[in-house]
Amino acid sequence: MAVIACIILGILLAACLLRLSLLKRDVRQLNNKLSGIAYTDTNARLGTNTFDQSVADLIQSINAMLKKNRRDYFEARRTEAVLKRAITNTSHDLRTPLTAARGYLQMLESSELDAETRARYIAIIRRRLDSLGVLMSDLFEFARIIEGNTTFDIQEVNVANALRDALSEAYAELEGKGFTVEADIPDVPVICRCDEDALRRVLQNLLKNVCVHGKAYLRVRLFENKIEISNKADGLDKIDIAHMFERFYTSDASRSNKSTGLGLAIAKELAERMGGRLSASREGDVLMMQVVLPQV
Amino acid sequence: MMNLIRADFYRISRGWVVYAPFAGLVLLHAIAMVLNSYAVSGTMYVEFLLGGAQLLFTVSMIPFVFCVSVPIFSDGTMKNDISWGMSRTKLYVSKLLVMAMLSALLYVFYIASGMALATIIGGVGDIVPGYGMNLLQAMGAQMVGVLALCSVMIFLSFLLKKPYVLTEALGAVLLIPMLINWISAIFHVDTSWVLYFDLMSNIERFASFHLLDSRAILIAFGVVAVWMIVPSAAGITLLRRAEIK
Amino acid sequence: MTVLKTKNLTKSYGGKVAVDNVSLTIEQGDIFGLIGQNGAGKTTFMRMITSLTRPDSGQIDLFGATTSAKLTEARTRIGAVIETPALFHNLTAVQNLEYYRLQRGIAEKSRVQEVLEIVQLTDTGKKKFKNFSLGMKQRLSLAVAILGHPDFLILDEPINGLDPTGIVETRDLIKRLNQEGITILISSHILTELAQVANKYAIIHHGRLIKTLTQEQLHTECKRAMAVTVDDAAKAAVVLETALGIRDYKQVSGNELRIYEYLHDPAELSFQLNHAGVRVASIHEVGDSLEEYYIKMIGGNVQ
Repeated sequence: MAVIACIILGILLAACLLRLSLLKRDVRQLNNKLSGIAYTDTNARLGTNTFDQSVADLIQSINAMLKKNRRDYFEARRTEAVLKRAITNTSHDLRTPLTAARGYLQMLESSELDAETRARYIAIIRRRLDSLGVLMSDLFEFARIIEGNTTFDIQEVNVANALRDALSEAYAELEGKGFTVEADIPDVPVICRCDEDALRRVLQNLLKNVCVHGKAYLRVRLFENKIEISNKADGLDKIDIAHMFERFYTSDASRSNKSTGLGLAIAKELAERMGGRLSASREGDVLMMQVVLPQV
Repeated sequence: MMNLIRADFYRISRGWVVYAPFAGLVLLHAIAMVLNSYAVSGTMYVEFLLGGAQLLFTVSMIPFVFCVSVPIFSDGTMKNDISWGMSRTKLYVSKLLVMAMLSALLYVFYIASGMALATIIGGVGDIVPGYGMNLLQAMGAQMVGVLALCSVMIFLSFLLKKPYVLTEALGAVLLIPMLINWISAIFHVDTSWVLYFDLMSNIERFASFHLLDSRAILIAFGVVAVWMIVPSAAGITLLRRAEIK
Repeated sequence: MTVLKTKNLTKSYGGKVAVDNVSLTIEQGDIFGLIGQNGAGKTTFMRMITSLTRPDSGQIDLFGATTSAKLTEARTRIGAVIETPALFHNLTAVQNLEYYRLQRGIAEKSRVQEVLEIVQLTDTGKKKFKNFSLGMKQRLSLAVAILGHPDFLILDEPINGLDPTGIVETRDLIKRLNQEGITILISSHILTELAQVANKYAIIHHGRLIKTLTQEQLHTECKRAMAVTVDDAAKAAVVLETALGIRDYKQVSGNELRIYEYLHDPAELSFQLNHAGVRVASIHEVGDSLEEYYIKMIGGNVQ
């Protein structure tokens, strides 16, 4: 009898010791792996070969933390890259009109010109400086918006009218660039809650974007509380739809044009701060922007 | 290592092949009962099982090889493991261990299910004093032989890789004693000494373990140990040098 | 951080040299394109990095690991799909992934579903691997490769045998994975395919590394432009900007400018430059298609 009891106790003791040593092994392994991961730039997570459920749970919690860590790290890197690109682009954009203005100034100083040419050069200089001014105010406006210092005057606005106004404003330029414009705007008033000025700005920027980057065909459609602006464009597959609204994003295709890519970013910020949404999608060679506004 | 074994058991259990030997053995028992319905009893049948292990049981191990190691060649998945940084030695040993575990389980099942079935049908039979001990010793020793056979089978699977050739090679290994006796009969040579060094004969020898003297036991275990270690070492070396397709 | 560095990696098969003293470096975050014809040595090179094949000579440095033991450890941070995708024929997609999840000790059971969603293979149900199409096989193999959150992905001709939709999807997937910090090495014999994803290239021919270049360099070499050689590049630049309004140009060497606009009217370019007192030594159109460039690179080195 006693012998059996001893044997059973012995087995129990051995089992406990085994469990203990396994746990110790697990902890040691975890420690090694974790310190390896902590000091390296790696995506690796903790692996497991444990038999113990609590250790497995611990591993999963740590992995969740590692995942978040990595995500934050990449987000920070992306932002840094965007910022660097912004600085480069902006300085290039600032320099170009300045260089041109300086060049023409030099010509005014150095050579003998007739009054007509002189006047022309001066006009060019003025234009360059104006575009510089526009760029600077764009930047300031954008900074202001993101800082959150703009107040919105939310009213019930007739979006149909606002859209028609924006279209007619841009019409001259569109026609000049050879666009066929198709407008599908209801005759009845379409009311949404938003800030009228901000809405106008959003539409202006979107249509300007179409003018600069689009080609041949524009379609504007309004239904319920959604505005859709579709246009054909070149080089659409090079545009990363996900990054389109990022501040200072310009695809290679449009680098040589005069745009800092702020127009779309501003439009998106404004739309969102009003309680709406601005998104883009692409089908084949047609790009569609969609503005969703808060309903009444 | 545990992870590798866990994963392999998961994979193997999804197929039907791994269950076949178990079912096959039950069938074997059933057939044996039917053929001998008048003279079966627990102890007698177990004796029969032990004596016939070197052929009856070992054949049923063959499907395991086709589950455990053949797929990594025929499906070509070994490159996934090696490129991920799995040590080639670890890979080999894990297959060996899985095979060993399955075979050990099957062996116990072989004896236990036979014993149970026979006892149900024909009663327990004579139990001489020390029977339990003798049985355990015989089983233990045969188990060691079975493990050595695992080593041989895994080695052959890593060497030959292709299923058909492998089956033939395995069959040949199992039939070595028969082959030797056959040669002996034809050429009228005394080959009984060879039978000390052949694996299968030793497995048979272990069936009556309690009858062997110490010297015989030592030689037998020595031989079996060689059969266990050499193929594994050769297999690991082969794998380490190989170019993985 | 250098992910991979090889030095004089060499392998011969029966007297024929498959990889000949290849030395290259891949930095973290790169999508590195290895271009070469079939049989140029791309696969053999990849097999050596993943230890499927033992090199005859040369060194491999993976994540800073150089010794055999450390290399094996370092390889746990790799995911690779080499040659034909190979998984267990009689298992389903989920079963295959679960097998590797258990084997590699990945704690989260949800990772299997996660990875299937990433490669868009969520609805194969009970279909066994042997009944998958080639595209599905490749996607599942890729899923296995990224199962353990690797830092380095090695893909051997992943576009091979895919239909156009598959090619676009694979390309997008590669870009997405790269944005999550995975360095990628891809091989292909189609330069145009790689040109859409890679940021660095190496051209390999008859086992030898002919040239390595960055995306920028490739574009510069290939972009259609007017190559203008002048006596005063600075002055020429001013003329371009002020008189012609050209913003898109580059100074590629002391006296040569590449102009990416006004390709249709070289006469006007000449005229304006001359008018401003810049002497034009030569002006002609340059620019290869990628294929032409590639052939030019290997054409001059055929043994």
